[in-house]
Amino acid sequence: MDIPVIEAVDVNHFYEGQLGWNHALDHLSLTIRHNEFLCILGPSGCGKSTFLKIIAGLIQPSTGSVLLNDRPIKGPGLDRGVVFQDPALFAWLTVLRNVEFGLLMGGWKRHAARDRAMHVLEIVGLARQTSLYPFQLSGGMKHRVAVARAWALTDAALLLMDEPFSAIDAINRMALQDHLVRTWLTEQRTVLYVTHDIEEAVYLADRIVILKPSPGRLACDLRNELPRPRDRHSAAFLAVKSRVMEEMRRHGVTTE
Amino acid sequence: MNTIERIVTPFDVPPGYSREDFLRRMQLRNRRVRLRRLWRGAAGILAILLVWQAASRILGLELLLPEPLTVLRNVVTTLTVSDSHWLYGPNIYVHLWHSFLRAMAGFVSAALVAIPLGLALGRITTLREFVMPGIQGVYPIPGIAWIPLAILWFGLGDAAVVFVVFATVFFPLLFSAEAGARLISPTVLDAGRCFGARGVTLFFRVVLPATIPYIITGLRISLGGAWRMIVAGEMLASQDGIGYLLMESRFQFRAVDLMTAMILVAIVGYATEKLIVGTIEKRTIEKWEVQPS
Repeated sequence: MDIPVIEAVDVNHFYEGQLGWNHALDHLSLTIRHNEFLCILGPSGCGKSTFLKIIAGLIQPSTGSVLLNDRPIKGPGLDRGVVFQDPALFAWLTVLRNVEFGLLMGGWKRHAARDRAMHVLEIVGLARQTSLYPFQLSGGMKHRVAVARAWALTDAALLLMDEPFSAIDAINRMALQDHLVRTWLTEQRTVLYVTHDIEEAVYLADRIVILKPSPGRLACDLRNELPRPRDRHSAAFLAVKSRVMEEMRRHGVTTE
Repeated sequence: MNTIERIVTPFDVPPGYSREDFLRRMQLRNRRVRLRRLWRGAAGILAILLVWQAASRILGLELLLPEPLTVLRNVVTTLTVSDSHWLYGPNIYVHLWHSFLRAMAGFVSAALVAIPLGLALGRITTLREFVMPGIQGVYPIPGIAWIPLAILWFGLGDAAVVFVVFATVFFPLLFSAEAGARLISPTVLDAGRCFGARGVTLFFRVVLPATIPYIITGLRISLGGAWRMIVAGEMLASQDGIGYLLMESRFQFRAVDLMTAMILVAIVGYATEKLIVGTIEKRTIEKWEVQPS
């Protein structure tokens, strides 16, 4: 019945390194369903960012196909919202205008774009900072603006997040994760979230896909049915977390 | 001080103080810093004037090295268009205005060509590989070396002078725009593309604003260059303007007029820079607080 949002079949990707070809992704197949919050979890070098960039349309896979709502991906576009690792805000635009940017590019009317941007900024808790420039924000706020900028795109079939909070200290990272969960609960979207942090994956995702490195392959695919908002210290949470760790060990992703 | 007023996050105050106290203290401190800078700068300038005064007293050659006060008085009489000893055709404002127009004509036309071209060169590798070597080959030719050719091509007059200004300021404008566009953060560019900007839109909405800090540096350097070149050009290829005035005062053996013209060049050059580059700066990088990286 329903078409998967993303259908990746046999994606294989090489890129040129200093000492020859690097095999970033080895015949990876993955489907993402509507309104799924999917975390791709894996250590550095497992090709998780490469996979996200392929879906974002920023790079072409060497072989294999990726369909977005049954149509092949040709370059970047407003049908996907991207949150980068470095917030990559436009330094010359205010917070509000950063969030409006994609909407206006997509042909929204000015006042409609403004309303939508204000709404999303309220959800991420930045309603009072709309007229500030990026340099006036703290690191965490910048990341929230980056999330809002992607989240504002109502036409985006899915949101791609490339370790968006990995450069933030652990305490603020938890706050940002809470914000993200609250945002997701207010407005359910399909999310592909890339991370190397096990706890983060268990805290955020409905489904966790573990990749193992060199070359990047699918190790296993787990469901996480814990109700949201989750308690990082509940027995159920810790049980899921240890199951993830167990799977990683079993598939040789970690070597302890 | 702008930053303090713009930040909206509430902040704590020690007991017995209010938020207003803090702002007042900041203002007071800023004023003190400004005053201190002012008087130190004034003292430095005064020292230069004293050395000049001493030198002209010791040498005693009024015709070659007039005293600062004499020159200053001459600046005032020149600016008040007193024609008691005026030997140089139209009054000073006409000279300055013509120089200004020529400098601006060269500067603006160079900016209109060099900045878009530089941005394109910075972003399009194919174009860069075709064009950059040629430009780098022409670049070492000093602006002054173009003057004879310019006179040959355009004759004595405005066109020749504007041309040498163009040939001088074109390069710093182009190189700064090129470097800025080439060095844009790849993620910012990716963000632009992911959020729907492409082609010309990407160029004007992302590449251009992201390059502004570099472009401003280029504008500043080239505006100074334009003003320097205008003097050289007018000395050789013009019948009016501040450069002509300088050369003519030498023929008249009037060091005092020469120095007056030099001081006016400095004042007008400083004012133009503040007015043009300063304004652009205030509306862009000062507001965004970004610097060339």
